[in-house]
Amino acid sequence: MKAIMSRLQTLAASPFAVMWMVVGMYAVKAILKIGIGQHINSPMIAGDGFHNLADILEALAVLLVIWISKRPSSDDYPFGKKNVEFFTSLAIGAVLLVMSFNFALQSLSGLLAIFPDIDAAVRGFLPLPEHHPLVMDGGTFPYVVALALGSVIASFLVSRHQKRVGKASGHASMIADGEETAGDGIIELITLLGVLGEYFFHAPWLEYPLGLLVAGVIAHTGWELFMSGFRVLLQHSIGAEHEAEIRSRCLNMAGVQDLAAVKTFQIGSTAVCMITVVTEHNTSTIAQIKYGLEQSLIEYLLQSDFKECELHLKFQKPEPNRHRVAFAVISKDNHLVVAADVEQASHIIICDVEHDDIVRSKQEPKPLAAELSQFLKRKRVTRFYLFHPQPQAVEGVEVATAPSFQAQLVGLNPRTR
Amino acid sequence: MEKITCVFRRSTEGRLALLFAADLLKRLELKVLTVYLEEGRADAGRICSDERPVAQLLAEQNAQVVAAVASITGLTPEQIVLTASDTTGIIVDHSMAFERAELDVLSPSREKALLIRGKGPLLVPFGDSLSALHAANIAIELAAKLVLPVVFYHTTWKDESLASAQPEDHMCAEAKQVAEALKTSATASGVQHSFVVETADDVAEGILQCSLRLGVRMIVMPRSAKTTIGCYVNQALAKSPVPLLAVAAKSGRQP
Repeated sequence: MKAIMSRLQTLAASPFAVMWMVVGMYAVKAILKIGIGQHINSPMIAGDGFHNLADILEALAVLLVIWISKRPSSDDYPFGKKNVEFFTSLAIGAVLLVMSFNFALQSLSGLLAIFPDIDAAVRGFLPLPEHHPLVMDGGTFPYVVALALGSVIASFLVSRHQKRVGKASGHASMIADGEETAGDGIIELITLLGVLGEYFFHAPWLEYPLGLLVAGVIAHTGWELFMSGFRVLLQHSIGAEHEAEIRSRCLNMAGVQDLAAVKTFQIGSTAVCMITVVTEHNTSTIAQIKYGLEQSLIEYLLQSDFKECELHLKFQKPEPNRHRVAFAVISKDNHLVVAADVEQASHIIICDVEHDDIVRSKQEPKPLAAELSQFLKRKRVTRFYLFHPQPQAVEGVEVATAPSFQAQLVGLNPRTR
Repeated sequence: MEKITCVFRRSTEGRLALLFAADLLKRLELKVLTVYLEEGRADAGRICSDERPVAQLLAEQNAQVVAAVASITGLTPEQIVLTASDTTGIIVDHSMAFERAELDVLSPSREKALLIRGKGPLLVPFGDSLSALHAANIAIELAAKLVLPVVFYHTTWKDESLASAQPEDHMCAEAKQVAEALKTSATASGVQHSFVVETADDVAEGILQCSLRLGVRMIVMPRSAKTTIGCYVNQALAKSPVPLLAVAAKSGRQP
């Protein structure tokens, strides 16, 4: 018994089994609706049955799409073929938009039929579909109600299960088809209201204003599905909110100075993030930062309805702000001291500065006093340091007071690591 | 933690260390930042003159350094005290963390401030020696003042004779005793605390990866007086993006 239950649970969670169940549901609905619709001369019910035949084809298409999306990735398709799912979203979204438009027209034509004069006037310039009133008697009423009610319940239950399994297995096409099934259920509910309204209150018009409202709801769902497919297929970002959270998580990670770029898009249910991180750290520390970022971003993305994620992290140093400075120094016995004035100095040390650190320095013999300005300009020095509260000026170069006369304190000694 | 000392260096790391130290000073409501500055009397002797004798040069250097520190940190000159010899308290510096194993040195790992990226726990790794208790006490005191939680981290080798998949079951008896002592200490201080026990492949990497997963804001790591080669503190310092306080061993000295 346990084994049977376990097998049933596995089947209920299988996208293929669920979609075959959907095919079965639509087949039963189509047979019953076309049969009863023709029996009671109801083009509305029979028409809905034919619509269910189209739903069977759609469900079979979703089955094919799920099978294709599950194909492994290859050299030609490194991300697999998961995006095929979003063609279905695009198609089902478009179908729902058309369906809502037709339903709105039918409801409008039903409403206008109550007012023959207005109906005739409107039909004079707007080609509305022909209105078919429901033909029903006491004998057929229970069958019609049972069919409509059963269809509504089946549609809602199956739609819910489809969307749940679709989300769990990461099949956007299944979720889209689930939305379409729910749309069918709402239309069936309105039909049921019409049937009940006519039978109990002789007021079949009740279904028409409701029908217009429902057409709006279905159009909204159709538009959302269409746009979700459109966004993914055109590699729209995964959304401003997600990107803001990704930025926030990156900037909260120790070692991250800034983000030069954040690009995201979606392939199937996989979120792809390409992030360029700005950091001054060295390679071995970057490996740790990368680990931290991956952990944090994967945790977030998998909690946000994505089934998988691919992170491409690139690290770059900040702009080095390269420039040159120079120090007047006394160099004796391999020992440096920053000089108080140019006369006292024996050498000039030219320093390449990156990220505010001296990364390279070269000790040059002091030029003649008259040539110092030209020498510093030729070396492209922007600032010249002396240890004096009022250092003597040098033409064309900014002269500044060094904070100390000790070479190691002003960064002139090589770094120990 | 009653005293914070920073080493004056004219470099990016020196500037970041000053910013970090000044921020910590404010958070701990301490009055003065001590700045370590070698006097350089011999160097002053090389450039002195009749107009500017050695004493004047030293005074000018001190004034320049205080002005530079005040400009970087936003502290007033009265809040800055220079020292050429006192290395008590915690020293905030990048290089000294590697060079002076006998001192308590906090490497800011190029962060500008402790909580600049939001609040997060302090992490204290521990092994089977009691050296962790001293480091833990510093961390607990800091955590209590800053209202931060503490995570005690331990990684152990798998005991192949045990089938258990729980890392805790593989801890040796000494490590369990240390864990118990840490728990007692943290509970007594009222600091929120938790334990993470793993069987990481590499100790230093395990510590750093746990820190990054948990959004740790500072690692407080004890040095071992017995270790001669392969010091975990130095390994972690070399690749940590998280500020790391290397606590000197209470007895004995490290290379």
